[in-house]
Formats: sequence, C-alpha cells, structure tokens
Amino acid sequence: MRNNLAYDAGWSLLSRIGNTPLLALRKMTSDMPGTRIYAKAECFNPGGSVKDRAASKIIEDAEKQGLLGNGRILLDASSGNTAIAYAMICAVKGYRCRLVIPRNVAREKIEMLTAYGADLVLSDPLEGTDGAQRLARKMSEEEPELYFYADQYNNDSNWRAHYEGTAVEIVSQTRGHFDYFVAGVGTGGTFTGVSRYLREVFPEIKRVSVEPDGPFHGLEGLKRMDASIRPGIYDDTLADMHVDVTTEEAQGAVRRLARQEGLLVGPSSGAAVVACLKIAREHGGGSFVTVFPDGGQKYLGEKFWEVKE
Amino acid sequence: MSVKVMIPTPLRPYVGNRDAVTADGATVDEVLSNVTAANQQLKRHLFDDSGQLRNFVNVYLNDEDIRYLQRGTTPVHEGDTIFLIPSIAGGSSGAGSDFTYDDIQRYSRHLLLPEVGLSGQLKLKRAKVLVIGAGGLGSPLLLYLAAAGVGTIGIVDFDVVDFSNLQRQVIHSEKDVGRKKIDSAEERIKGINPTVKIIKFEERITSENALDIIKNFDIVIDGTDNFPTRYLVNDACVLLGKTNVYGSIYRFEGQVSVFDARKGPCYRCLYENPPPPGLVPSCAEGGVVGVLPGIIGTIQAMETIKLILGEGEPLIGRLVLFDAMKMKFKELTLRKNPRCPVCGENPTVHELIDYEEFCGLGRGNELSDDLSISAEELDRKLKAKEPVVVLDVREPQEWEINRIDGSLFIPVNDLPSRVSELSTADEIVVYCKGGQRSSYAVRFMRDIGFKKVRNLTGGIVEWALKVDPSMARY
Ligand SMILES: Cc1ncc(COP(=O)(O)O)c(C=O)c1O
Ligand SMILES: [Zn+2]
Repeated sequence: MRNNLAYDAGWSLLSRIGNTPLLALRKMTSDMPGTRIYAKAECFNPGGSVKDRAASKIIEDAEKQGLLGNGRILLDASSGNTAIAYAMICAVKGYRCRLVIPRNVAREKIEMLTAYGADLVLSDPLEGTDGAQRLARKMSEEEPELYFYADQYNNDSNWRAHYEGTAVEIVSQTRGHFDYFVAGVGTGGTFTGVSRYLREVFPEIKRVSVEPDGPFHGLEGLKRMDASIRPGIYDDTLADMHVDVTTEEAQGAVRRLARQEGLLVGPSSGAAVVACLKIAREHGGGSFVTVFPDGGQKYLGEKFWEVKE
Repeated sequence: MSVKVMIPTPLRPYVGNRDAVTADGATVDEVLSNVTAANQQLKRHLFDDSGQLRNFVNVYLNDEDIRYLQRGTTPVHEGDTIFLIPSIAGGSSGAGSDFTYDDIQRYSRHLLLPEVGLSGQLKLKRAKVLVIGAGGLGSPLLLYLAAAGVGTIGIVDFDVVDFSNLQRQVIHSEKDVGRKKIDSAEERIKGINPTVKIIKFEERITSENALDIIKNFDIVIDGTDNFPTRYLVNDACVLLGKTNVYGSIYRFEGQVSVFDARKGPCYRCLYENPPPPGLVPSCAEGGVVGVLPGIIGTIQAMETIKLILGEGEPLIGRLVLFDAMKMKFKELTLRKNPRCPVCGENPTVHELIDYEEFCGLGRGNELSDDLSISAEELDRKLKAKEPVVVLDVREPQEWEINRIDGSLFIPVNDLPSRVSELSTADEIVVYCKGGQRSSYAVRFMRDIGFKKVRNLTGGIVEWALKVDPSMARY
C-alpha cells in the first residue's frame, strides 16, 4: 500500500470543530459609517452549527468522568442542531445516541439525523423544545442505567466549550478591539461562556443577549426565557443589555445576508444581526462581534424565502 | 361546522391555558378568524399587520399541511382538528408512523439491541403479518408477534375453542370454550399490546379467497395442520411472491422452514405431492405434546421477526427438524426443485387449484355409500348379534381412552403386515377417530381382496355422539 500522503492529510473530522472564521459584514452596514459587524460563521463546523462545540465538550467531559461507554446511550433533547452534532460525534466515536426533538423541526434536520444513524424520538410539536426536554428528562429518570443524559440545558460543559473555545478565538481574532458582544440565547451556552470570559479579560465590552420578542416565534434555536423552562446554565446577570427581535425582522436580515453578503445562514443569525443594527442605530454606531449559529441549508423549505427584495 | 383548534404551548396563556379551543367556520381561514376575533393577543401572535397568517406558522388540517391543500380556503368538516405549529420549515405533524414515548417504554429491551434499535422497531411497527390458524402454532405466534410490536396482524380462523384445545392453544382460556377462536385471540392480543391492529378473517381459507386475503400482507405464517391448506398457502404465496413461514407438528416432532420461492425452495419443492389421505394422522388423531407447538410456533415467530428486520440468516433453503424426546435439532438443506410445479422452471400451476381434491379428500375420493356404515346401523347390527368384526385402526394411546366394545385392534400402519389376522370372509367395519385413517384402511383392504369391509362414518367421535354418550372423548 502506498501511504505517501500530503503533510497535512489525516486530520480527524472532530479536530475541525471550532476555529471558525470571523467574517466582516460590510454591505449590511454600508449606510452606517460608524458601525462594524463581525460574525463567527459557525456553519464552518463539520456538523454545520455552533452546537458542535457544546456537544463535543459535553461528550469529552462525560468520557473523562466515565459516564459514557459500556453501551450507555447518549440521550438529550434538542431543536435539531445539538442533535446533529451529537449524532455526528457519536458516529465518529461509536456511541449510540437517542435524541428527542419536537416533531415540527425542519424535515431536513430529521433527514440528516437519520443519515447519521441516530435514534429519534419525536415529541409533541405543540410543546416545542420544552416538551422535548421534559420527555428526555422523564426517559432518563425512568431508565437511568441505560442512558447518559447529556442535558445540554443544565450541563456546564456546554458553556465551558464557549468559555474555552469560542471566546478565546474571538479574543485572538480581534485582540479585544470591539464594543459589543451580541448573542442569541437558546440554552444560553454561547452567551454565558463567551460573556464570562470577556468579563474577565475585557470587562468594558458590553454583553448583549438576544431573544425572540415573544414565546410564539419562528427563530429556531432561540428561546423566550420568561415563557420557557429556564436553562440552568444561562446566566443573565452577565448581560449589560437585552434586545428582542421579531421573527419577521430576523427573516428579512437572513434574506439580506444571502442576497448582499452571499452568506446563507439560519434565522437565529438574522436575529443576531438585527440586534447589532438596533443597538448601532440607538447608540450611533459601534463595533460588534456576534455569532452566526448555523447555515441556511436546513431552512430552505421555509416560506420567508419567497419574498423578493 | 364546529372544529377543534389545537393551541401550541406558548399561546395557551391567551386562551385560558387550554390546549384546544373550538370554533365555527366553513374554511380554515374562517375558523382562525373566528378564533381570534375576540382575542387581540392571540390575533397579534398569529397574524401580521396586513391580516396575513405569519409566515412561520404552519397550519395543519388533521394531518395535512394546508399549504398542500387549498391553503386558507381549505374547507373544514365537523369533527376536524386544526393544528397551529410554529415551524421553521415544513415539519410534519403527522401521527401514526412515528415512534412515541410509550413505544420507547414498551420496547426498551428491543431498542437496546443494535440489530433492532429504533429503526428496526419501526420496521416491526409497519409490518403486516398474516397468521393462518389461531390454534396450537397460532397461539404462541400471535402472542409473541403482538408483544414484539408487529403493527398489523391478520388472523384467519373459523373454528371455536374446544375444551381439548386448552392443553396447547395457550392464547385461549377456559372461559373461552365455545367462543370463536378469532375473538378470543383478539382479546388476548389486545390485552398484551393494544396498539396492534388486528384484521380478522373469520372464514376458512380457500382457493377462492386466499389470494385476496394474502395479498395485503408482507409475510404469511402457516399455522394450520392439514395438507390441503398447507399446499394452498404455499401456492398462493408463490403466486403472489410472499414469504411463507412454515411449521408443522406431530406428537413429539416438529418441522420449521421459511419458503420464499424468489430466493429458495417452496413447500412443493420439498413435498411435491401430499401423502395418501389417512396415512399421516393429524394431531387430532395422533396427538401432540402441548409444549411442542410452543417450541415450533416461537421459532416461526423468531424467523418472522428476523425477516421483518432483515437481520440474521433466515431459514430459507433449510428445514429444521426437532425431536423433543431426544431433544435434538437436525437441519436439512433444501434445494429448489427445477421441476417444481409452482416455482420451477416450467411451472404447471398458474392459479390456485382444488386442494381438497389434490390431497385426495375431494368428494370424488370419498368412499361411496356402500363402503360406509353409520354409527346407528352398526349399533343395530351389534345389538342384533349379527356377526360383524369391528376393527380399530387407531394408535394404542387412543385405544386406551375409549373403544367400541369387542373390537379388534390393529393400528393403520401395522395393517399391511398384520392383515393376515383378518378373514376376507367376514363382514368388517373399520373405524378410527374421525373416519380418515379408517377409509384409507378400507381402500387398502378392498384392493387386496376384502369384499365385505366398510368404513364407520365419522369414526368413534360419531359413535360417541350418536350411540354411547357416556364414552370418554379426546
Ligand atoms: C440555530 C441556533 N441558533 C442559536 C442557538 C442558541 O445557542 P445556545 O444554545 O448556545 O444559546 C442554537 C442552539 O440550539 C441553534 O441551534
Ligand atoms: Zn417449489
């Protein structure tokens, strides 16, 4: 056998998690001279979303504590991206995973999960991710010896992935030269982890959390905290400001990002950019770093693309 | 038209924390505008400023996304349900084929097996299996298939539960004696697993109805114990391209195989022609140990589940022979017979035939009246002390249970070697349990020169019924 491969061949898939590019969004702010927005493009992760970070940290830490292996099944609830990340990593590592997702998540996500070989349990679509979470918890309580219940909403490994990874990358990519860190909250892992690190190293950077404007929304991955099961890891005392975004505003931004920046992202990325723009308008500019949690491919079946602009 | 509208959790605070409201209207739009007419909060969440439904709200009428119906103008009917599902892309609210929480609980031991898992369990849920006969083999088969989560089970049976069935037909209980087997089986199955869909065929499977009954199922399991049905089921499965999970039992021995003519031999490749009628006693005649159908039937159930999952090595092309007394399994390799009349290279059977006739049981093969005698007439002759020799051709264990007083005893298989014990000059009446084996004996004796031999119609069963009600039965 010839094994004379190029010098950098042989990277493992999982080593490609993290170290995502920080993209400058120029067109979005072309009419706003004092405003700069930079986005961590998390769609460059191998599983296609920011949740690769949390999932791989959760799994690594569980391995260290001996919570996985011996045929234990990884169990968690997710709106899709974490599920995809678990499914991919478990495929690589040879673990079984069982994922509870609301039946109304994008069909493309369900197909991806099936492709990765994960077990799916679909929960009541009327109850959203809260319903999925309740069901996963119930399953783990009933058969604790069968599962490793990863519980991304309450697992410290989730925010630590961002504290040790995303935040450090942002700081090295910017030297801390920005005014606002803006992130949408689902589990709150991204916001909490990055914000904790920034508070330690650059406390003057303002930390902004973004939520949907109400409990009934189409921003997959985000949560309206006052109307949901509150994630244990979400620390809202880290937030200097808070911005609400409507689904329609976020969708408009998603279309503009595709059509002006050539960036195909999901609705929660749109929400992040809308929040940056709102603050910039209110405070007369500023430099922003935000996180674009995933790409847009999984949402192409959505009706909001039909609008021409 | 009163329609139920299911409210997603985030909106429930606006409708008094209910999960559903009812409203009138002829179309989806009308219903939704009636629901929101008096509720500004709800309206603001569901509709945009121009009165359009917000674009991330997916509306399902029963199980269908109205985007694929007539959108807002889709007509609604009394008793319909509308679901409002916030969604990023067209997720499906469709129920039925999905896996539910209850399924996880119920099948957790299956889900642990990599060979089954969730995808395998879903295959089981979607599978349609036909079980022919709810008797000895059918009992364990039905119980285990239902417990394992086979989604749709068809049952063909026209019989009623008899007291003598309880020794081995474990799906039926003593309280069911006299009841239709199909009903008693259904009740037990529902008790084990109410999610199983049962399709009942309360009829004898015949050449006329077999194709219609079988065609909608994926796998057919033969749990019958007579030759005409066995050939009928085989031929129907070959013609329809279905898999036939075969089992048979007799006394302490059983056989199992899987016949799939697309991949291997069929039953006719193994046994091209049926045995002469009467030669091979049925369980009703020869007896069967009660545990045996449990063993053979559960092997059939195991093979069926493997076939559904597409896992393991099915018994296609192999015949397993089981001997309970020796507690030994033997395996024979079966080959497809190129001259097989149904599945061979030049098949001669292209449609279902008359299997009673094929197995020599047709009317043309019945003994003519002058070769038969009724129980009443024999009784009269015996009471009148006419010189009649009564010959019992059953097995010794049957003889121990009951007999017609004064009869001679030569089991049918011993008859050729012991026929010299009889005289052609005598008037002889032959009986067995039900008249099958004795008619075979009568024919044999006629052929070798006994002119005055006749068959007791209906055998000792008929005798007990008509002449001697005090007689022990079996
Ligand atoms: C598309 C998308 N956006 C945003 C988030 C929120 O990230 P976090 O859970 O770290 O708060 C998620 C998380 O599931 C997501 O899938
Ligand atoms: Zn054949």
